[in-house]
Amino acid sequence: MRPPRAPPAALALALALAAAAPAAGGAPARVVSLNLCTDQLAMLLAAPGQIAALSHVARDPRASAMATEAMAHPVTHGGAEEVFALAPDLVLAGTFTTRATVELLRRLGVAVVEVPPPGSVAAARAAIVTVGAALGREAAAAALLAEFDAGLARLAAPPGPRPRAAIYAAAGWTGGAASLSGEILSRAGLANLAAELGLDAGGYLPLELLVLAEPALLVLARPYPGASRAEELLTHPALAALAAGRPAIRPDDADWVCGTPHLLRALAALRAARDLLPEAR
Amino acid sequence: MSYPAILLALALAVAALFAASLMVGPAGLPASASLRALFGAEGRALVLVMQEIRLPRALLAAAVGAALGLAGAAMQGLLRNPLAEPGLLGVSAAAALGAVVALQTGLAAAFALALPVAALAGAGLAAGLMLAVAGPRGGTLALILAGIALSALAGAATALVLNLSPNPFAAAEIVFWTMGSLRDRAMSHLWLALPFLALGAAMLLTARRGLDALTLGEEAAATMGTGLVRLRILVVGGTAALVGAATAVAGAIGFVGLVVPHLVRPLCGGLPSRSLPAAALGGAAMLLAADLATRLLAPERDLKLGVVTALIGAPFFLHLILRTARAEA
Amino acid sequence: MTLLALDQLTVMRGGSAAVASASLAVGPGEVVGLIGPNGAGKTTLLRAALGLLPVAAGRSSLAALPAAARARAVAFLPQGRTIAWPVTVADLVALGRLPHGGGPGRLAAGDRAAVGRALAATGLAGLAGRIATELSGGEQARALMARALAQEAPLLLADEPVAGLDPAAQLAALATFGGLARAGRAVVVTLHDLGLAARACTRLVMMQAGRIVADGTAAEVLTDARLAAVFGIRAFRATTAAGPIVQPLEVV
Repeated sequence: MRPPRAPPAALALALALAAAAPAAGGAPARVVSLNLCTDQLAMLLAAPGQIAALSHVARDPRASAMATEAMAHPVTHGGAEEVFALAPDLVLAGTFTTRATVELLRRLGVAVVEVPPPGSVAAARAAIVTVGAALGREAAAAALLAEFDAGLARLAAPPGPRPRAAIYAAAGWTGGAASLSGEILSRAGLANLAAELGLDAGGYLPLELLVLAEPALLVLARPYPGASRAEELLTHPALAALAAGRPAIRPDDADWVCGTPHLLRALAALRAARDLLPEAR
Repeated sequence: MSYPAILLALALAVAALFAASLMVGPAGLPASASLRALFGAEGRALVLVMQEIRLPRALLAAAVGAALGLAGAAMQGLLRNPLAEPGLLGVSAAAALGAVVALQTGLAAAFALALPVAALAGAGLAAGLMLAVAGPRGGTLALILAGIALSALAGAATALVLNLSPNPFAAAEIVFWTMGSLRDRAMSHLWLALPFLALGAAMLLTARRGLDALTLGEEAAATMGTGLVRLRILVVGGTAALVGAATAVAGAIGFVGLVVPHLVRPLCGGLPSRSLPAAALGGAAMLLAADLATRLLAPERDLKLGVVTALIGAPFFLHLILRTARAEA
Repeated sequence: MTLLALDQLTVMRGGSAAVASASLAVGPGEVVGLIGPNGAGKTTLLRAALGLLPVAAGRSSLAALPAAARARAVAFLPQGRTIAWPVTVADLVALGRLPHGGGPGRLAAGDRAAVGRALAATGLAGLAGRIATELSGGEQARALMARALAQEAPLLLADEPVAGLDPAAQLAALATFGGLARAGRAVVVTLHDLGLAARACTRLVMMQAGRIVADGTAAEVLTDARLAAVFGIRAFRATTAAGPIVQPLEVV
């Protein structure tokens, strides 16, 4: 099952309010984002006209929760030369990728704000504050945070049994207790098999351990177009046999790859799946 | 040791390593329960682990290893060069390119056999090209240099195809196609490869007498009734079928076809007809051992098979080059 | 009965004739010495006779045979001494039985006897278990000759079989050829040593620039005029109680 695609009404309202507020004095006028997650935070927080360009990934519906919105903005492929030509007064980047580009832009005198990839809901909240401040949109960030917190509270799992779930993505990757996906699993009222196996940060989950553990719920990935051996694993007969005996959900990757309030969609989907499990009653 | 005794010893080694391969895994199952599960007399989860995860892996390791050992011994026999090896000559890389093209064009999804067939075509073209480069005298230098060029070309083309794929995971798989792995393979992979492996092995074993005659050079072999054209078709076609099918399911794994024939040749008295079956058994043993090593050395990582075979094989290769250079000097 | 018949055989190489209209018939009991300076076309003639080279014109009785039948009609000892793998002398010689359905590891009684005869004829019986590639050059040459002998074909074509051998081995090899001829078989052998050719061959065929320029006994072929015209040398020639002597003396 799939959560609704459109943002909740309250979120839309927050967006509208944020857009209506005038940019504070000294706020950057031309912002370029180089990272899928800062792209989405920028779209959620920026004033009209403030975004000069987003990363091209922002328009990819498989990866981006805001692909439709991103169509309204120019995109860049992220080389330092291309970005510099856009004459940005602020560049938003991730801390892991585009390292060389960021170094070069700094030497050219461009202000760069780096936002680490979110490893937890707390980190996601911090990123909203960071990007809000960088854009001079503190009020919009506060409104978005309030909406996010309300959603988290609304979807929080009731005390009770925590059925065991396993995330099993392409190439057998799984999210551990210390990862964002692991925290979402936990907030949905599920126990994480990866944590049980000692994979705190997540990593490769051997198929035979998954089969032997027989989790109550399988959280699988949706295949991308084109072939890959990593995803061929998701059709392995042992996994198919395991999936035949229990429910499996395939959340939209785009919903929980970044620390934005879109996480609420993934959380809602997991909560709904959990509540249907016989083990949850 | 007599020749049958050597074959028996190798077969026992394969059997022991095969059993070890079935018993070793991250789940650390007790041997007796694993054995019962293998024959379907245990809980459902355990049966799945043994029959659908560990059994195909062990069977594929043995089959792919045997294919690579046999193909290496046959190519060396045909080119009369102990350095000829599908991995070094770019045959495996070309097979991987064929497989990747079949996967990324969607051909393999539309028609499952397209995967091994495309890999076979890549391997066949490469092996034929190497035969042309080697010429009747089989010059080592030209052969190795052409192999380097072909490996680089096929590797680059593979990377290009994977980078252009719409699938974000495809680009990360360049290392699988160049280094090979047997992790989480299924029975379906074995069934896909097996007919081609059987065909290739049959072709190469048919060529045994001709390869023996080639010990004396092409002219002497021809005057002893060996049809050279038929022999070349058998060896190039058989090698292509073996390397193509093996690479399509396990990626390009180097050095097995170099190391194993070199080790078994002196034990079997040098002749290709005797080296071929021994190299097949030795290749199965080596790949089973290498696959076990990937699981024992770094159980939590997907250590590639080609890493282990290259760690053993590359020093070997250098040793052989030095010896060949000294012999030719 | 002829064992080899060449009729107007012509082989083209790079626009000129490497062998031009060569006709030759060899019958049982003959040891034919094929002589001529370097580049005269001796090796090309042997290869074309065996069907190893495309022929521009003419025909060879051997090349016309199917490969399997040809392998039982003629054995060929090529000039290049190739032993690709470290095989034992016994296995190497046993390869000569391949045309008869035998071979290393599957010798019938007849095959085994043939291998034994070949090893004995080349004096290699004591080395049968040794690895051929570890032997001296002369021993390797003898092992390869034993392989050709083990084929036990009615005709043996040997290209420079004695080059690089010591005198005893050279004399022994030619004595073996003589023995084959007396047993009703025939040998065609290319040689550079004219003295050896004159003494050991029943007949000499002289080639120059692709053509057969003389064919007959040593006395008929090795005249002063031909030695000067074809080889560009002057030689001492004599007939002694121990046979004919030919000793090249100087370049003319």
